[in-house]
Amino acid sequence: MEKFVALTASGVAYGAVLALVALGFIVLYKATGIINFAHGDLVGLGAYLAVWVVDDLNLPSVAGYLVALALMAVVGVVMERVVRAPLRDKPVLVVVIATLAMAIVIRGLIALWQGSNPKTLVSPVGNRALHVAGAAIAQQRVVIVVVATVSIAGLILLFQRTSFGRQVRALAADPDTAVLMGVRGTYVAMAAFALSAVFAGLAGILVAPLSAVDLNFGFSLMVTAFAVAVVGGFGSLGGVVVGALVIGLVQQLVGGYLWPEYAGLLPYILMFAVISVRPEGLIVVERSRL
Amino acid sequence: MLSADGIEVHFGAVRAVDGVSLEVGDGEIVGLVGPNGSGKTTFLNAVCGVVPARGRLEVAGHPVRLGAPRAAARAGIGRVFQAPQTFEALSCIENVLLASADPRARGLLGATVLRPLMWSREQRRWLEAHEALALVGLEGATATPAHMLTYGERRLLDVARAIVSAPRVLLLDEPSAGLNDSETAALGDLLTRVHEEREVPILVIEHKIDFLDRLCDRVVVLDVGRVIASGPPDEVWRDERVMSAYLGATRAEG
Amino acid sequence: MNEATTPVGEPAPMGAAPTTGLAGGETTAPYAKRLRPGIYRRHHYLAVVVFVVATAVLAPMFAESRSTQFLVNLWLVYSITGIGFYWVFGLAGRFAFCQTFMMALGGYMGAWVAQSSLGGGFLVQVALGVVLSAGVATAVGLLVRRAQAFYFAIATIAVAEMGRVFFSKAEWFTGMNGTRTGIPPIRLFGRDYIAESEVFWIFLGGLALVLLLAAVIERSPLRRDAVAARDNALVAAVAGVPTGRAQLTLFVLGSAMGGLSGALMGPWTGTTGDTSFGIELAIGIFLMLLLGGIGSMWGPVVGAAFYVAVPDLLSGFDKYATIVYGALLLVTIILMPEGIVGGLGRLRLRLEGRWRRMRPKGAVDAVG
Repeated sequence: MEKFVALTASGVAYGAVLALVALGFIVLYKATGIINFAHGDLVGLGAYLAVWVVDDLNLPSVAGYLVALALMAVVGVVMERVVRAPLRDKPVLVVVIATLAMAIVIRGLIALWQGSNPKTLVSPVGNRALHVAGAAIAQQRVVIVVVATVSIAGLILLFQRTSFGRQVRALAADPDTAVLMGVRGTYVAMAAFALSAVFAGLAGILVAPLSAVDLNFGFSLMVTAFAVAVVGGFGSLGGVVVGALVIGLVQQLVGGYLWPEYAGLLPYILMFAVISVRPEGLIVVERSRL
Repeated sequence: MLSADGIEVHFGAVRAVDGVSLEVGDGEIVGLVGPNGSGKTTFLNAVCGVVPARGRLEVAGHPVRLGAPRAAARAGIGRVFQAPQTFEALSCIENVLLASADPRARGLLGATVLRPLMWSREQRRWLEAHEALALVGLEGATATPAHMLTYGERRLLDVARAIVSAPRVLLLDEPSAGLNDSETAALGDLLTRVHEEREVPILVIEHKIDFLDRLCDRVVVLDVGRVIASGPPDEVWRDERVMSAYLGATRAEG
Repeated sequence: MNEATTPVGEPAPMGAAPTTGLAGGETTAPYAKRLRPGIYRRHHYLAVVVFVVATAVLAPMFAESRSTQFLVNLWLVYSITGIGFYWVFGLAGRFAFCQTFMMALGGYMGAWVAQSSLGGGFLVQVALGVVLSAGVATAVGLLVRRAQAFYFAIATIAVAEMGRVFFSKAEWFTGMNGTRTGIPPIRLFGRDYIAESEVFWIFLGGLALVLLLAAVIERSPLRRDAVAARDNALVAAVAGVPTGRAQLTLFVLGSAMGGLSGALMGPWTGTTGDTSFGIELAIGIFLMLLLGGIGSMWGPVVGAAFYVAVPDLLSGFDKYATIVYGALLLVTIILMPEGIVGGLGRLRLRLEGRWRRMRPKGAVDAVG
């Protein structure tokens, strides 16, 4: 029972982080059609920025995190300028490769700036743990779940209730028509890049206290988040949240009980299975009119 | 010859093609007309396997599986789309050869081992591809990359690709769209030439009445996914239902 | 059909025109010349021969130091995997992320065979490495054959990640901590190839074979079919192109070339480890192809030369190498989308265009 509670708790917390990462690149995908392969490195960058702000600038943690997130928004906008703006009339695939290039630039810059030794980010709630049914649950996990829930609720409200959300949904449905109807694609794209980077950064900051921050830190999170997006159906935000919880729980529970050695494989197997069974997926591939 | 029986295409709850039956006999050119949204293009798409459809389809007496483009191509259905669909990364003759390559030469084994052994046959394919290009008047452009062609030339290239493998029926979707009067006349001559020299029956969607009058033995009129009239052009134009369908369409558009 | 056409034998001189009445009429000498468009002329083979001879002569002359010889050899093996990726990504348009995984797979397989009781010669090791990566690629390609664009990319990332986890756990296959050491050197025709300058000849031979295969494919219907499937699969299928088969064939073949280069690297460096096939190389392969030019089989060869040369050119600034790779990739995509080889090709077309009319004659008259 203790084990089950502990595993469930870490599964939910892990799922919450995955949901943040996945929602970050899905917002961008909906607004611009781009799948950002630099998203994982943005997650890493967020964590490194938080470490820098807290350790080197000696800001109090929460204020420091906000500064780090603001910087992430700037990074997002810069990325739009570098990666998307010059390639606007190129096929999306080309932009996707550009994000790949951006990924290694970000990674290289982090390595230059922070070196390749792993860093640690101290949790603002310390190492305290909550005791539920005999299981110790790190309070950081509780923080993760709370912050993630609030952010996701905020994002969903943003999508449903605001003009920005309507514009993004219009772009997702039909980019050409949306632009003709007066949606300002560039502004929406910049905002989406910024929002996406902030979500990446937030995920990085939240998960960093639970593990060491190194250069590959974000990449595996991103790939698992791809699995989340595929399982959750790439379309609806709600589906992504459900997909994230499923993958988080499956990985922790199955990994904890049955197959600890290869637990890391589960998301990939799940993702691969979904793609081979539903290859057209839920991504609507635009098809030229014949 | 082509014989379609009760072809149905659904898009969700919408019946885009609602039980269309028609025949194109050997030696015939049949026009397919109807107001916008009457299901003409969707019908052609169903026949060449691009959209999932129900019904029965036969080419030269052999049943053709629906919803499988390659099966349709193998059965001898050649298709020219409304907007030119050339492969811009390939040269003109390669565009044509796409439709005529020997199945055995297509795979890896074919490329490396079999093809050199079938050299004379390959030469014949080139000759055939060149003939098809010559028939549409593109013989001077064999090696030209397709992206250098004009809009009209691309359509001709599509026709060449559709006829090269000696199809048993040719489907054309508004071939005169975007052409001026003299170009349309030249296109009519070309289609007549293709029809006679290749002995291939043609089913053509068209809006230009005089073009149809000159070219077609018979027209079939679709409205809201159903056949409402069929017969020689001058008879069909006088048909009440056809007139009301078109007037209705005009009213709706105006 | 014109049954009267006498097949023009391949060795027939260019001037020998078929003398039959073709539809359209003119059977003049230039007609026969145009009959076989550029892509089917023999210049591909000629280019391979010239390249191999030039490399065989020039590389030993200029690569005097051991480190330069090492870089030349690295260039040769990277060219092999690059050409494979050109088939997968350039021709078949498959956005695959598992090329480095295929390299690792081939490398581990070769090393495992070499160090197991099976033994086997160098050729057997390499062949088994190639076969294993081709087999895995076939399975992957069949399972996700209907996945398009991003879904294929994501599925191949999944494959690569599964491979990474597997390689780090399956020590019976991949050695301690996922690194096999002490792989015996290349032994072929009764002698060992240990020095860089000796290995060079084996690698050049391997690349020559791969280039010949590439030239064959360049002239074959397979390339046409794959390009058509890449650009518009639906229209290609309507024209009768076996789109799925063409893409699968090139994916498997390209992955096999990844396996080949991985299997060549083990006996050369003596070790095979996951670190040699990490994400840097994965992105490096994209860089090779895009920088060199995605539209030509020579693109990855040129690109690999740049990729290998960058750290050397930056000597002393090694730590900037990653950033330079990334920036180079970005600049290439934005400013030079056709890559180096594509840019040269365009230049050539422009120069030729001065003497030769590119616009087809007669085409316009037919309609207008």
